[in-house]
Amino acid sequence: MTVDRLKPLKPTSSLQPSKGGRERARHDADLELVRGAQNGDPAAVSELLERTKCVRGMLVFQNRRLRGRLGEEELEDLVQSTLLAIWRKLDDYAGIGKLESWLFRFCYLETLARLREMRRLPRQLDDSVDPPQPERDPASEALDHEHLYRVLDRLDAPVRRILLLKHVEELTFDQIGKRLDLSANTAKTRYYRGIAKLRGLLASQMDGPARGGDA
Amino acid sequence: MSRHDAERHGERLQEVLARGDEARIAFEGSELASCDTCRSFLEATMDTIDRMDALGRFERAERDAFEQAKLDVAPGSAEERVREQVLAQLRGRAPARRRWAWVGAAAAAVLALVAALYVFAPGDGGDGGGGPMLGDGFELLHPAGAVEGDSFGTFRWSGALPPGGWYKIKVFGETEPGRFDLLDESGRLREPRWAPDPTEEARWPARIRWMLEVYDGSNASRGFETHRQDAELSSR
Ligand SMILES: [Zn+2]
Repeated sequence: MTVDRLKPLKPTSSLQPSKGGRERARHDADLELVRGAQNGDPAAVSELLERTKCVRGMLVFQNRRLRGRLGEEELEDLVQSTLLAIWRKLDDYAGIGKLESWLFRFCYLETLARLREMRRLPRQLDDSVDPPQPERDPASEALDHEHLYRVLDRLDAPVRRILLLKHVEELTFDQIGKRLDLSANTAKTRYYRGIAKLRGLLASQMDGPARGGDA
Repeated sequence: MSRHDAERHGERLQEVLARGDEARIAFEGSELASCDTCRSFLEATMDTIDRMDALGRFERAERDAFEQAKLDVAPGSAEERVREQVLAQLRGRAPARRRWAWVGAAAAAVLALVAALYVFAPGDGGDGGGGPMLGDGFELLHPAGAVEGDSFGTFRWSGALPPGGWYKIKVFGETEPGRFDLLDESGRLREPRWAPDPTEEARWPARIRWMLEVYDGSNASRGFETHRQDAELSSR
């Protein structure tokens, strides 16, 4: 680890998705930072504590999007438990995108999980029988995607990485190949294999036990 | 309706899918268009791709909205508490630079340590066999001891909540004999019961130790009381 890399990075790091190789160095640096912190490098730990300060803003944002279902106290509690969960799950950060992108997704899922625990989410499966609402609750859309995120989590990390690079980071197979040291063709083959696996998981979940939105 | 030819159609399907956005058009213009097997395969695949596309759009739109919101939020006490815990873990680390046990369980280990200090202090009789009565009027009712089935069920306890106060449940799992790491914790609870998220619970080991924290109306961690209870699933 170089001293240079440990200078404070931009305090409010942009979440904009990156295209191709130019940002790769940045993601690699983020990955190195995270692994350094996991290994107990004091400088890396200290930098990571700084970088995760954006988490509060992300949780405040999610709560606003979801119509402020959490009160001030509850939000404070969520900030603490989310930060601790992040430190526990650093292994999950694979450098697919910027650290902040991973944190953002993390905050989104933690907020939904907390609201579900508090039984403050609409029941997703009842949407079809409810009378049509003039304005759809943003939580419903959030829940649709949450389900897919949780299924994605069940894929092997390399497969999940390719699917996210393609659809969230919008990389071409060429760019994915460069990022992962694969040929574009291999990237493409693995991508379609990943889609097939995901399709299988989604299908098996539909046959499985129903999953309530606020259970 | 033409009969499905696994080998030949499989190859053609790969070519069709490789057309990306134009896959559906390419499919209709190919010999596969009259094969029901291939059609349902294509539909299911394209449906999955569409869902991933929607997810990508959703995430990018959310990120944009977050950027534009330019939220200026000052850090609060939560950040400070987490910082202290993380740094305490760092200080307590053995000089031998083995990869930390907190790869995957970072602050959990700190919490386990904190829990051990509070909960398993000498004189506590903390050996797991002490029974549910723990003084201070708090009693951890369920789960306790051997639990039938493959779920611990709803956690229940009794005891008077201070005015404006709240409960928190922390669950530790025995990851190796005698060593407990934090697995899960509740939000703020006003009622003496808590149902853990079933998907989280499914990941817990058979032996858990859980702890009740009682906070007063000041919300600070000072003035809280901790208690613990051990439970073991018979069928995991
Ligand atoms: Zn066919």
